[in-house]
Amino acid sequence: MNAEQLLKSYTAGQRDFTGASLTGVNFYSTDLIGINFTKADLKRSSFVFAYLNKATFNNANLSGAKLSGAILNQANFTSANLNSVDFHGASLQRCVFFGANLSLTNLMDANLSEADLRSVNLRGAILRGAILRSALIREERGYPNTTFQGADLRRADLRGANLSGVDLSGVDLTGADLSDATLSRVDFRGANLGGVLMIGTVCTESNLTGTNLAGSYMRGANFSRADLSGANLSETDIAGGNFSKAKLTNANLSRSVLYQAILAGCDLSRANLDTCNLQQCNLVDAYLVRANLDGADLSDALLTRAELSGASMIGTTMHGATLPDGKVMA
Amino acid sequence: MDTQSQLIDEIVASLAEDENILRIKRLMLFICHDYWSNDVEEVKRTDLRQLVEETLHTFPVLGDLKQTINLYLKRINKQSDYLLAADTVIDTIGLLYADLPPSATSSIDPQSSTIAEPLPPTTQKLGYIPNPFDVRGDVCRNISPLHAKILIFSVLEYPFDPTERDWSTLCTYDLDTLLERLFLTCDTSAELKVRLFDTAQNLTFAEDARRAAGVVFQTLEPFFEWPIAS
Repeated sequence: MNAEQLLKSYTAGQRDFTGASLTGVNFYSTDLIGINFTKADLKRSSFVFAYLNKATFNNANLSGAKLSGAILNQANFTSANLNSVDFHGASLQRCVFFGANLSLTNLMDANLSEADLRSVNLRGAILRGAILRSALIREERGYPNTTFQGADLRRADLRGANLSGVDLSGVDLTGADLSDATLSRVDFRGANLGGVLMIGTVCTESNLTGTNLAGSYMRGANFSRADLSGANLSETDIAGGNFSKAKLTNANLSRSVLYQAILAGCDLSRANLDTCNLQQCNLVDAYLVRANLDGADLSDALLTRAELSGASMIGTTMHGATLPDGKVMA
Repeated sequence: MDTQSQLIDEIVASLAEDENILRIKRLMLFICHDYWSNDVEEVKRTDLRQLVEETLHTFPVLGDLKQTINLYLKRINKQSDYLLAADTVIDTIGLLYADLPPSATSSIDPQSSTIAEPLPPTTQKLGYIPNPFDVRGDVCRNISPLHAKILIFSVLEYPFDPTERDWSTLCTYDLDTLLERLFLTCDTSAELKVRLFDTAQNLTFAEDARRAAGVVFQTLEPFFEWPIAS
């Protein structure tokens, strides 16, 4: 079958092209809404600016195909081979990619709002500026987790997305918006998170050891039981954040705002908290051995049963703070 | 004959003797009818008094006249040749606005204390886009993000040509950065509209580009008239 024959059949009302072999054909700006390309061989084909809303590509082979600028809302790509596909600026809202291979794909500035990206291979994919609002990327029992190793997610919009259990190690998320997203049990090791927005983000039990979060805005974020050992959190705003039982040993929190944050049972040993705003913080049972609290403001903070041995407290403000022994400072 | 009519006669007589009269008339035709005449005879035949009256009628407020002239000047290839003509139009016809009733003009005549002081502006153009990801999301909801990208790239850089070289170049630009640059480049929403739609009609994908122009304009317009917090 060639492109001409397919278009003729489509115009006549046929929608099912299961198993069709159409490698290297050109469907530029063509209206193929609702077409069924299940198991079709579409390697290196071009669908630039095509209208493919509600199209089905389950188990199809589209490796090397060009779908830039195409409208593919609600299309189904379950288990499709999308290796090296060009989706630059495509509209992929509410698409299903479950189990698909999207390695090395170009999804720059694509709109993937509410897309299902569970159990997907996104190694080396370009997702710079992509819209992934409320996307479903979380782990699924019985299936391999979605992996983003080496992916570029700079300035991506991930607000409200669910990425629980996902491997984000080594991913570049500079300037991305992760507000209200759920990222529990996520591996962020080696990821670049400079300048990210994480307002109200849930990162419980995630591994953020050694990550760079400098200058980020993370008000109300939840890092309870997360591992942030050696992470750079300098000059961040995490007012109202939750770090209960989190591990922040050797972390750099210099000049950060942790006003009203919950740091109960948190391991802050050897952490750098100089000039940090810790007003009204809950540090009950916190472990601050050899922490640097020089110039920090602990006004009205709760330090009940906190361990402060060896902590440096030159010029630390303690006005109204409750000390480890229960005594309240004047 | 009333004072206004006498003043129009005087202005018409003074303009008629101006050595730049052809450019002045061509510019007035352009701003009143959105029509650029390259026919010298046609420009000569156009009645000057009628043009002055049309200008007054089309732009009852002097500020609007000035703004429109500035905007249309940017659409002319030989802008510098028409700058003097633009100044002459504002300096001469501008005199007539002082004689219009207060309700029809917002110009302030320092000679007259009877004209009410205009109210302070209640809106202003923002110096930045406050929520760039929301703006990008709004633009990309119902159109292909790539059409928006091509259009804005063409407004800011050069008309996009769907060749391999331009596709690669486009990958080096981010949509949100392009949107921000477009907003900062345009002084008014009227300028934004003109630049978007003028560019769209010359692109290969004209119909899609026009649709994108509408969406981009609608999304950015509120930031040009942002309410000033009291």
